Amino acid sequence: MAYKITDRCKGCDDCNQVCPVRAITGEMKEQHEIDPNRCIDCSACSVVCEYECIQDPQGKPLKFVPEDKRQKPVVDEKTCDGCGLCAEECPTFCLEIVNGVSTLVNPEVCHGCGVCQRRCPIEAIKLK
Amino acid sequence: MSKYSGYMGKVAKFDLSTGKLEDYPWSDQERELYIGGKIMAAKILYDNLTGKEEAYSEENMIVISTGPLTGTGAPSSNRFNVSAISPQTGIIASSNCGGNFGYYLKKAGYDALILTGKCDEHSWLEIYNDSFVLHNADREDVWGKRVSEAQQQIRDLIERDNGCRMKCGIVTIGPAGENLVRYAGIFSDERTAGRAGLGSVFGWKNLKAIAAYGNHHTPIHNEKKTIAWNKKWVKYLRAHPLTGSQLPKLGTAGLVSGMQATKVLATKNFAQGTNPDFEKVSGEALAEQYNIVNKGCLSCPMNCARTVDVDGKEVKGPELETLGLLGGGILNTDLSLINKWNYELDELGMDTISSASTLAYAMEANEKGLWNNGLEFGKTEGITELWSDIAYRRGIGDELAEGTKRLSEKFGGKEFAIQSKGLELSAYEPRHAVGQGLGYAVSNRGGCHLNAGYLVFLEALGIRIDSQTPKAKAELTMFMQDFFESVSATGQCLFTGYAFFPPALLDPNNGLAKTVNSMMTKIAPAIAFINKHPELLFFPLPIFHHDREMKYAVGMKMNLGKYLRVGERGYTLERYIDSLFGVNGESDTLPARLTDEPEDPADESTKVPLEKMKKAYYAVRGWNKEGVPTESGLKKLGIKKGSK
Repeated sequence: MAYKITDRCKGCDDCNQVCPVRAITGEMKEQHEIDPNRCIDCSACSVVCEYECIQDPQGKPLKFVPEDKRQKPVVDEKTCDGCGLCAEECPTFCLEIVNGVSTLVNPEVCHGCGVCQRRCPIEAIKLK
Repeated sequence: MSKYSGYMGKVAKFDLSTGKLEDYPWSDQERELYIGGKIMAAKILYDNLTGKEEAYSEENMIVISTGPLTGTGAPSSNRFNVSAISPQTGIIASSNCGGNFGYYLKKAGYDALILTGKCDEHSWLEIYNDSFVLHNADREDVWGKRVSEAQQQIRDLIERDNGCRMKCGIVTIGPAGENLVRYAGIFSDERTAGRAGLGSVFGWKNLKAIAAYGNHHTPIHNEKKTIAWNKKWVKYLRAHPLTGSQLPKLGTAGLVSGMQATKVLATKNFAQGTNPDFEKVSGEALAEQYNIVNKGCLSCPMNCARTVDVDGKEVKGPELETLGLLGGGILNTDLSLINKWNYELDELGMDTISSASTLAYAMEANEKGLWNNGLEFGKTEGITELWSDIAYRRGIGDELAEGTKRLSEKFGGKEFAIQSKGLELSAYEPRHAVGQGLGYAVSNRGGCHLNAGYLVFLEALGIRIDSQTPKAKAELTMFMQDFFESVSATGQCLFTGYAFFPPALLDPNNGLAKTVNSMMTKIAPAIAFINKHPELLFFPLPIFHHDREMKYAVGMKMNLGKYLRVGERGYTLERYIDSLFGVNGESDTLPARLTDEPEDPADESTKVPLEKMKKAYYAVRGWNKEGVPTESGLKKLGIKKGSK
């Protein structure tokens, strides 16, 4: 699987700065590359790519989300059973289970990548 | 690749001696027959062992396996299994753990990991996708460390090498495993594959730890339906009195009070089934005085684990077995000491059940003048240091590290050496739950309450069938063993099986419960019929959610009947492998204390009528009179050597 950077890349290096698993390499002002052996399909890179040159594993181009519009996970505390999968999956260590409920403890490092929402087995987390 | 979702489709075989990595063949037909987890491990061991191998040898292989539901998000599904020949029992053992290692093994792209050979130097193994690297554990300062320190060191090394913090799953042993304490465990986060001493097999192979990570995702067959089913099932579990209320509130520790009431709380090395001081070491006392917060294994909605304060640190609290055996088991009434010892044993890397039971045996041997070791029931001074002496094999710790069975062979007192096949019993005293006694004796891995079939749940905990009669116990034991076997094989926690019993049956004063409970021991032929023809249970049941989870997440058509058949296949196969190592009916024993001395001297029925139940059990299982599965029995279950 893995995400891909197309030739529209201007080499701004923003994606590399946010990639939580260091899967992206490239010189400044040159096209960057994603190592398919490392990419965890989190989409943190596409959120910050203002040139919209990143595709998901199915080849779908992904949209840039301006900083003031970036969403954060919101937990439905009634539904959440504290199973911990979101916290385990969050690549930037933002979520923790506090008193049996998933809680955003490091909002400042959250990219709004949405892994937590995608992995929650009972749809208790939504990006808002 | 597999036609089924849920599986990563690959099994890794890694030779620790040569560093060679191979793909181990594992077919879809085997996935259908053996599912995963402990049953998959049993099949792999069956295909590779002859019955001549020893625990501490290069020929012993460690199989770490996951279930197809691991990583799918199904409730309580991230358990993994470790199987190998046990240094305690000399036969194959499976040890199950709720830590996150299995989850990350699947992220690395593997359903199971087979380790053969022996590292020629102290090592730890790093697995990232298809890259398997053995690191020197001395140079990298991992060897010799306590469990949590070793895990932290490995996380730091991985961060250093990757240039960023990476999520990974780690299994590690503690100093006890390194020093070949026969009951050393394997640790993943704070959870433990504790039983049967497989940590010392790691130690013998010079393998301190394994870290696994990668970028694979567990495929899900029908995501929409799986999520809908998860929601329904989680709701059901949270509404059930056991899984939604008792376990979250008090954890397994909450069972102490109930066990006291039904006289199955092992006290003073199983001399009694009740502890006059039980309130001081009960789940209620733990919750009131020490519980900080409830915690759970990854993907579990029940949160039955808890944290406690030990010397200003928030650490994992004791489970029922630890509480019972380190409390009344040695006549200790200081709960804060149990919390401290529990943490210390985890950090040193030892199974709390076998540690406590070995200590209780030593105290009684001293009391009876068989072994002058200075240990006395109720005397708690110096025990904290003693755990360390065992882990590092110093002084009498070196003797204690051998476990109850070997000590009783040396010093005598076999009648109060509370073990079966070399594995110490759990905290359930079976003389007021005789079916549990049968299970302890016939269990494939030795004296384990869960592998036994956990009949004490039907006899004295949740449900209250007649606990003294041998009637129907063989039939029920087989049913429960097979059921638990397959639930475990899918990667799920056995506690999801608790909710199989309708809430009405759990209230001993409920009229319906009373009727059903009194009937249960009178319908042995009906239970035997179901055991023989589980295919008749082909329809969905509202109390049984496991089958549809398998259907939606894995794409495998299951029903309760198929679960029972898979479980029977697993249980029979394990027994057959054990028979190659010399196990037969004569190995299925309990200490004479439990079979010959009534717990209540005024009531002759309060002992385990083992011989009678054993015979019935072998017959119900279709094994021969020596308690060994027949070749034709294996054939009927579809068990064949190899992958074709």
